[in-house]
Amino acid sequence: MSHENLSIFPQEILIHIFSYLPSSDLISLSETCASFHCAINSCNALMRKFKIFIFDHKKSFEWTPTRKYIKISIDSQSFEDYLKIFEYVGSDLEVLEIRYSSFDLKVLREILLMCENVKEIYIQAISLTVYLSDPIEPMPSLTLKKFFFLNLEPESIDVLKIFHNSSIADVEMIGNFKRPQILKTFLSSQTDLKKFHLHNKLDVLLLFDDNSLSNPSFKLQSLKLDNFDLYTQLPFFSNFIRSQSESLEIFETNQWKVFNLLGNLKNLKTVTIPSMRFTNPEPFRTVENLTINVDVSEGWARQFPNVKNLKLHQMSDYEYNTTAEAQTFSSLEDLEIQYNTVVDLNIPTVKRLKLCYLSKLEAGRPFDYENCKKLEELTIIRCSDAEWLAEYLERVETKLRLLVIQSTKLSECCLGVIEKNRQKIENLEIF
Amino acid sequence: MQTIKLQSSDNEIFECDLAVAKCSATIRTMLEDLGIDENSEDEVVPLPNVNSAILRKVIQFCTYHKDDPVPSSTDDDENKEKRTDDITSWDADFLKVDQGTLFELILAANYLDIRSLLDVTCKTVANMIKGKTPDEIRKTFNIKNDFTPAEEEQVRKENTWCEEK
Repeated sequence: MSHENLSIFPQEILIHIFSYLPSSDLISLSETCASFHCAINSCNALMRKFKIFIFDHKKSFEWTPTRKYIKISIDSQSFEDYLKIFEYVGSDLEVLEIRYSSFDLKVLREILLMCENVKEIYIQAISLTVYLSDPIEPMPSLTLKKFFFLNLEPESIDVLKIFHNSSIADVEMIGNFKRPQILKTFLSSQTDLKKFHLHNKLDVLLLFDDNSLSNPSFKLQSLKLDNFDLYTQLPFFSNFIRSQSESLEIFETNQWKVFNLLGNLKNLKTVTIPSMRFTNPEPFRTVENLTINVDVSEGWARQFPNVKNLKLHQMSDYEYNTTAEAQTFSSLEDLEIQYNTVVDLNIPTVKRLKLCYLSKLEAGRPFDYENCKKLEELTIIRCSDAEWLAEYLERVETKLRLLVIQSTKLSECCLGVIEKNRQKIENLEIF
Repeated sequence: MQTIKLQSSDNEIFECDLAVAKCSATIRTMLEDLGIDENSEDEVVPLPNVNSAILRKVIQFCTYHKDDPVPSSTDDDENKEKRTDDITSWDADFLKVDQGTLFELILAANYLDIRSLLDVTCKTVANMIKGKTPDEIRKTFNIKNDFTPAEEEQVRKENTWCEEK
């Protein structure tokens, strides 16, 4: 036997040699002679590298083997090619990111059947989807940490049908959703759901128009629901909230009437609500993080005696000075104020203060300088008037750890004062 | 120091350190399985697949590397890009041989199951392939293009996306 000819080497040795080469060389080798072509095709590991490289050249594809991550765009023309690729890499994948348009969801189901170890799925549905007919069998049985779905086509919600056999801990959905029955059936199939965030952009969603979600198997820690109609769904939604009363810690909504229901939640820590027009007989003692968008009525601050982190956005202040009431907080450390016309703050416990989009203040200054001795960080973003800063810096005795001034015009005089008092500011950022 | 006698395919006898011979997993297994007495002066291990010129080189390689730490066998991570630029200067000098000898060393390393020799020789061949077109690869290794025109067309088609480079 002549050993001069590499092409008649045993296949195992060829594979060993080829394993040191990048995919571009594997392509040349596969075109060199039949035995090389055969060796590459016989080895899964080489083939994988080789196929990935081929698909790489279609720009819509990104694969990161070390992160076990794949990102692809699929349309009805290309999906057959992609099915091939998942035969090679599917079982390795942990993170799958798919954009699809005009596409048969059965293909997605087939892809997911090949990705049995995937942990996180991110889907963007761009345009019309071919519906799934019922029933679709077999369905993939996945255990997911995260399912993210951005939906620009209302009918695309059909995608949820694929996950009835899967267990998902964190579901985040943004977009236009119709046909709430699909969403209800999906939620009823889930047992380990911890976080459910639904940002519905279209009309109101009739998710709670019957008792099907009154006592689900899952116990949520975090719930975010936008644009659902409480006027017609209140009794059923109340039942749902009651079923989550022990577990729910984070609740965010833009639904106005929801405030009445918060009293049921025994472990609520973080709340984002649009308004506070009602009062509860018992204050919410567990709440530490509170965001209120738009509106409050008298007595709101006493409802949350233990808040540490407060964000007040777009307070109108027509009838009543809302911010002054914040003085009743005894453990507030972080405060963010946006779009208010009147700011009357006198909260000695605040350490970090953020003021955004403030116009000229009636009181001339946003907070009582003498009283805010614990202030460490002050951030001013897009305020039309921050001349009060000069007076504050002249009078403040303690040192600021951080002063941030962003997109806010200051007079020469004010800038001069900042420069003069530079030793009172540990870190200064102006941009 | 214990020695052992190895016999090449062309019947030349090589006496070498037992520790050196044991770099070969094949020889290790033979000694254990066949019960060849390590103390016996007259026992000779026949190696019918390795000629004397190559066996001399193999013994030279193993003598130099006999104290190297055993590489962990867990380095077969497919996703890890294998390096070919980590050949030591001694190994590079040792492998400055004609192509025929290099190929015979690969076959001998494979037969004798000497992982470190197989790795370094395969890396050397891989370096000879790197960046070459199919035609250049054929020239370098004197390989005949044995695809039928139809097969060649098929392979090209499989690879078309890559030609857009």
